[in-house]
Amino acid sequence: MTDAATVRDVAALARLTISDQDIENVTVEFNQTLELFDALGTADTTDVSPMINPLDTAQRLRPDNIETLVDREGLMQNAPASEEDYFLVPRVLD
Amino acid sequence: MTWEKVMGLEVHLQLSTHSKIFSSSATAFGADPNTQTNPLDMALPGTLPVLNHAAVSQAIVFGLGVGAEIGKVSRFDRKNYFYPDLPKGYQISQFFEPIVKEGVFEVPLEDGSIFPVRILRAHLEEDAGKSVHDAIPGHTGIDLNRAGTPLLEVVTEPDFRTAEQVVAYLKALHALVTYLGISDGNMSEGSMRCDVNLSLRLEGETDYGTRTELKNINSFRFIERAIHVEAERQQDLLESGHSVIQETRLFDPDNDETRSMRSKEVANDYRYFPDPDLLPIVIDDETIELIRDALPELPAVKRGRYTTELGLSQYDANLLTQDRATAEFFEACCTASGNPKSAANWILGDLSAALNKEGLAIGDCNVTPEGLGALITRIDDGTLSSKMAKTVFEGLWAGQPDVDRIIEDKGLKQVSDSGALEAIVDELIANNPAQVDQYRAADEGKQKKLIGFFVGQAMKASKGQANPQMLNQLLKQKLG
Amino acid sequence: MPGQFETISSLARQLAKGSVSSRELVEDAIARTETFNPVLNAVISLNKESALAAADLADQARVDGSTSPLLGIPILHKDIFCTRGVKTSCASKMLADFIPPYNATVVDKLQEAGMVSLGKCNMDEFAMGSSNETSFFGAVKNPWDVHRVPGGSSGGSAAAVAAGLAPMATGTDTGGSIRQPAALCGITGLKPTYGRVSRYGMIAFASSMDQAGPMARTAEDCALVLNAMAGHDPLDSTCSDLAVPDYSAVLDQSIKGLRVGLPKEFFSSHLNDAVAKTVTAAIKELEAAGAKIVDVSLPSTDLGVSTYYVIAPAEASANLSRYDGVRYGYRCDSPSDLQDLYLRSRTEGFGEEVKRRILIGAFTLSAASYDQYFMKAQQVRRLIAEEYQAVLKDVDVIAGPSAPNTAFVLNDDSKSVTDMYMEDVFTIGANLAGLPAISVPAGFVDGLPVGMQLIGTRFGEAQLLNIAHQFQRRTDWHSLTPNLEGLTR
Repeated sequence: MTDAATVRDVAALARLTISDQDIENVTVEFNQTLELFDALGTADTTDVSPMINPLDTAQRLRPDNIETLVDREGLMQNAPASEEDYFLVPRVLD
Repeated sequence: MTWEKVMGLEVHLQLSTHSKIFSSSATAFGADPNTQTNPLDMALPGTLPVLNHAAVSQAIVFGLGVGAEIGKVSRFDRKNYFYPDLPKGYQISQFFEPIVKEGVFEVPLEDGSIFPVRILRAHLEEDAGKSVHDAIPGHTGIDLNRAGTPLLEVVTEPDFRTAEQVVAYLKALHALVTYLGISDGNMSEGSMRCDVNLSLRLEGETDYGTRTELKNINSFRFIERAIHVEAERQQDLLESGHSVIQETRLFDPDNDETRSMRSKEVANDYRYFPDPDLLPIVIDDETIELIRDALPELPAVKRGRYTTELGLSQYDANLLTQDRATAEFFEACCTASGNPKSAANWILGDLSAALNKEGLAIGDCNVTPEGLGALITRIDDGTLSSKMAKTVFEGLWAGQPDVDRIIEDKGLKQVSDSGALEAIVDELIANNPAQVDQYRAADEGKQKKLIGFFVGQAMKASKGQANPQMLNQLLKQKLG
Repeated sequence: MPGQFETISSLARQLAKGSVSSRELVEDAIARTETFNPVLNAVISLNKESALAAADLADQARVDGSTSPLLGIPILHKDIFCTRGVKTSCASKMLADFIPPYNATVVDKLQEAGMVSLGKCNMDEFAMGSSNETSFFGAVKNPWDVHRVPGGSSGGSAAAVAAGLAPMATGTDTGGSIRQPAALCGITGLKPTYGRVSRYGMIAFASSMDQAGPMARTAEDCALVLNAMAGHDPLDSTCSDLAVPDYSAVLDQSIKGLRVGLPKEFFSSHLNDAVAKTVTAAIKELEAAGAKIVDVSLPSTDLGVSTYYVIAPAEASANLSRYDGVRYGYRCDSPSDLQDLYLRSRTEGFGEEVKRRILIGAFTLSAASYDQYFMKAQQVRRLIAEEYQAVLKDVDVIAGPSAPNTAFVLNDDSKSVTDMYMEDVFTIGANLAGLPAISVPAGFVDGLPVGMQLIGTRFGEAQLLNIAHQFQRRTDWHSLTPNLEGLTR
């Protein structure tokens, strides 16, 4: 059983907030989902290597060439806050 | 109580590729904000990483350079955390399977000895962007030009006990990567960044103490100071019965202290997992051998050759191999002069002093290895006295390329013509009969003193250009 | 004028003959969308001007001699594909105003083949859902019964094709998101082999399983579109450079002697009895065409659901970290500091199902749970993939139902979150193993369509399409159409 405090910690890692009103329900659902995962424990995976990607080939490499696909204006056109060609966030103190 | 420092290093090297590790954006330093970017660098939706061939080759070159094992199959993983200069919310790094595995890197120390440093691993990863705090009032600006620049993070075992060892390692590492041409190693531009993990223990202890991580120390000068200051802080804590907290600290050179970078947020859990967008990097033996064959001669090999074949001291060999440009200058100068010892003395003496004075790099001054070689040749064949040679060197430094021309222009030629010298000596003897008699009457010991008068007069008569050895010989013969 | 439910093949013939123009087809499609979409909610952006302009260009290209088989054919794209200059929302508030400065490779390829994009289809938010009820823009209605769901996550694409708004639409399939809605809406949908079609510009859900594919009326149409969609892309490392065969050229092979495997686990307690009967009857049709039916077993089928719902949310939790309100996307009002910006932008910008999956994904990746959940799921994934590979050594193709039920009613509160996850039990295996799979209309239960799923060997799309085509030559389930009367407001 995962408790509400743990669920809140995980939410904080993922930068999500769970309201006091929702936390109980979210925790119940969270545990229901984990119960579904318990079935994994029944599989014998001794010496089975994890499968990360179904393609069993090696990484293809790109030549070291410079190419600009989209200019800065295009890349920044969706920025919710920008000034002097920087994206803006609230001031971050070191 | 005597405390011993135990240190391990993590050095981030910016690789010298043209384009970024996973996108085709340029990596050059100092461009306008957000101009060296592509959709991937902005983490726009649907964009995917494609690995740069050059980043992989350079990592292999490094691994071979430090004598490490190359990972035949390595992988990329995602390191998850939120920061505005990390556009994807995760950094692509190699956590589980690095491309470079264990090796031992030989570091030359000041005293001429060799200090072996165990390399634990070196892995490829992408750099973050830059947060700018002073451009826009009340805000932090984000510039993603640097985001995705290829880095090689080199991690050592905790093998360092003194700050001098640390500095020597960093200098040797700098020499190695510039030799190999895989990084410019420029600390002020952030191409080489160093984190020091430091703990203290009582001398004789075998367990490690709690360590702190000193972040991003960006000059050789600050490293020794930062280590000193942090070790003192830890010692004060331990001696007053407190304990050291494992944390990241930042060295503040202005206040000469380290301070905690601990933020108030929840302890981070990076949730590393293999990046499903990237397949395994598979490196076969043939590729490794091809790269090995193309490697330049490494500093350690050069050092060995300089001492055994060229007869240099270990000290000089260490200094000459500290960077590739100096070693190459030295070798070209040897070829031109045929005299390695003189070449070493001139480079580490007059040339090095002049460079230091002007703050220049060896490649940026007027003196060429061929010019210096010609100068040495003219000393060796008796044309120049060592005093004259210094004047010729000044000519080379000022930008005159031809040594013989300088000698001629400045009228510096040593008079080694026996006829001309004989005429001077004969005249001297004829004009100074009293001194000649005094000399002839003296015993051998006194003669040595008295001959100085004739040498001085002859030099004066030749305007300082008489070859001193020949002059001496001639005087002894004529007076004797 | 061609009818509402014509296939691409038929329209292509008429365009080639000159009996209809692309402009007429596009005008017609726009008119139908304006008529039926207010109820269906299948299309969330309709780009009339650009579509008409593109249609005129296609008509001109034909005059100039172009004979591309897809030239001038209208198409709708799932709103997960980035379209340059056209809003791409992934049906999320987070991207409600996002206008990409680039095209997804799939969009580019189909445009190069001459297809005319009408607009973008509704979907489950970030492709997370099996009912299309998680869309920020509201649920999509099933054209066969507007009180029911079209399935998901490519529910808008399926409903639009089923209602004849366009002869085809693109979809994406991470755990069944092409096949299940295709089954529930009575159309044909192909999920290609992982790596057959580029993922560049397709907004990521679970990177190791996401795959784009065609949703159309027939297997023959899917083959035509796949010809243009598939192939190497330098912008996607996981896109195969294996040569693309001409899928249309191999559609007339006999299936005599073909070995069709029926996994007993696909006909288990999860499967609705009436659906089971319908699918069994369809498989009999394959047998009648000469195929040999073989009983096989995929014992880890049920484990697939657990495996999938560990891996997909884990990958998604990282893939969705980029939505932070900094460079694009939803940003909360007047953030007080950086953490406030992150927390409120993400909490307000994502819907409930998306947040649920990010949360579960962040948990299974955390240091304390990694080995127990994520690592274990990746190991089980290999076991499942090996089971499929072993069976596919014995048989040419695996057959079974595409979904356990027909379309279910909208807003069904009796279905729990995990009940909903079980909707994907038969489709998930192909994603975990990276195999191609197709859903074809196979009959009806109470007036609602049922789909038969065929799963093939890696890069065996040609064979799957051929079998599906042979089936469609013997049946007419794919040509039945919903009654759209009363589907107008």
